[in-house]
Amino acid sequence: MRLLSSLEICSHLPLRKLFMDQDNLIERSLQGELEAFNQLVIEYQGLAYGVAYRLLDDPDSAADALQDSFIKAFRALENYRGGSFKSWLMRIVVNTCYDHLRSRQRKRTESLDDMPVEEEYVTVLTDRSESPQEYAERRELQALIGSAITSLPEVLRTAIVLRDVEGYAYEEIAEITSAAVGTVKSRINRARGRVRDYLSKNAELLPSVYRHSLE
Amino acid sequence: MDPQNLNSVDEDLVAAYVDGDVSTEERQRVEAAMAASEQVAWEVNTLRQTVQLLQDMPPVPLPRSFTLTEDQVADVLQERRSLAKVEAPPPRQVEDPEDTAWQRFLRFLNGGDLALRNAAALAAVLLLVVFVAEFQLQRNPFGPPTGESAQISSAPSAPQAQVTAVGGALSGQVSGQPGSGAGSSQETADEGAGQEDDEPVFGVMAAGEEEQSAAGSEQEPVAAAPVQPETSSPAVESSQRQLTASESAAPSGQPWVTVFRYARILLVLAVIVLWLLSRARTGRGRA
Repeated sequence: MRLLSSLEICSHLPLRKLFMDQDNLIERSLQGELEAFNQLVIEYQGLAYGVAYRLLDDPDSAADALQDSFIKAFRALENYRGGSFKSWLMRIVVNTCYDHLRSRQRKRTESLDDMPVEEEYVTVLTDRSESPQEYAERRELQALIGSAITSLPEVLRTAIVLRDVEGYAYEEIAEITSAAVGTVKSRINRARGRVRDYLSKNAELLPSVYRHSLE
Repeated sequence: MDPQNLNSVDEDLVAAYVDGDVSTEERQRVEAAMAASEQVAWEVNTLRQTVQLLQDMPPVPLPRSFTLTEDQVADVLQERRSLAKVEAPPPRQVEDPEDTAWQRFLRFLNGGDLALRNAAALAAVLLLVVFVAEFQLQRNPFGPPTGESAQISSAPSAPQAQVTAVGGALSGQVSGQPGSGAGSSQETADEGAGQEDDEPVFGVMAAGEEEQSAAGSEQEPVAAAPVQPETSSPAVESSQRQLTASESAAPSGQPWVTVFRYARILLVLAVIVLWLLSRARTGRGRA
């Protein structure tokens, strides 16, 4: 049943093989083969970490949330009823990030706006052709956009991260967030408007093209 | 479309338009609204620029691997592995299709509970012994007075000696001859062995023949033994000794035939019941 539902999703041969392999890995994971589940982890951890990082805007919190998410997913694997395993997994990741956000807000340890950018992350993103000034401006812009995203309510934040940063389709976002497609579109539009308004308050950090369009 | 009063339907449409995910009719609607209102045009264009900024965000590199360890999910792993063992089919459920009929028959015979199967085999051996003993009894009823055959061969002599005594007593009473009676049964038997034409001997013969007809064919030699006319004196004495031995063993001879008969029936039943029990116990064990 699970296999058939996966095959219905796409008829493309390489993707069909991927889903068949994925179904096999899930079945073996349910038999107690941790190695099979870890292959799924390896396949999705990059996508999942990107979402967690954008939602939490902190590498350590994102890593903790992602590790918790995979443990939760392994424990809840019996509840997976077919369909898109990616969407099922991302729903767990998003909900776990919400839990971490609320926990962090309760503890009031640090302000999300003051989170430093991970040094290793910045190094990887360095473009050797750009000048130090350009590099600094780019860092500031990324920090600004990150702050704009984290200033959003949870549902708007999730919608804009999944759509505009990670490139998910409306239908996938609807499945992940358990919302209607129309609701997802509305949330995306409202989130974009709020980010634009947030950025316009710091127009000096924005690229000239964007700054001119705001005027 | 007034951007100051965008309802939810318009929000959906603007988002889809910015993403390029609209039909021709929807696109014309939005572009018409943009042409009619600078505010709408500004709204749509700034949103498109914002999306471009977000999409230009670099991908986040993975800081480490998030594969799970056994310790992190030890309880779930143990539970799933134990369930997987329980649900796994037993290895001998499917019969090998390449087995010959003879191999399947041998496996069928060898199946079952070992103790009960051995007990059934023991009963079968005993049954064979009983058959052999009965066969020997029928073929050699006057064998040497040792072992089973000697005891069995003495069986026909018992009624003969008893009847001889009775016959002697009767003849004594009828003819009035002295020395006859129950106490002289040995002498009467001796006379019967040596003199055919005496009345007491005739009485013995008649009684013996009656018993033979009742007991079956195995008593024919017993009747023939006393009437051998050419028997020399030592042979007569030997016959007399046989009769004497038969007299002493007479009370236990006939029951042995009955014992063997019942033993045969019981042993056949035991073999069948024990073998069936061994199969049944194995069936319960598998279930």
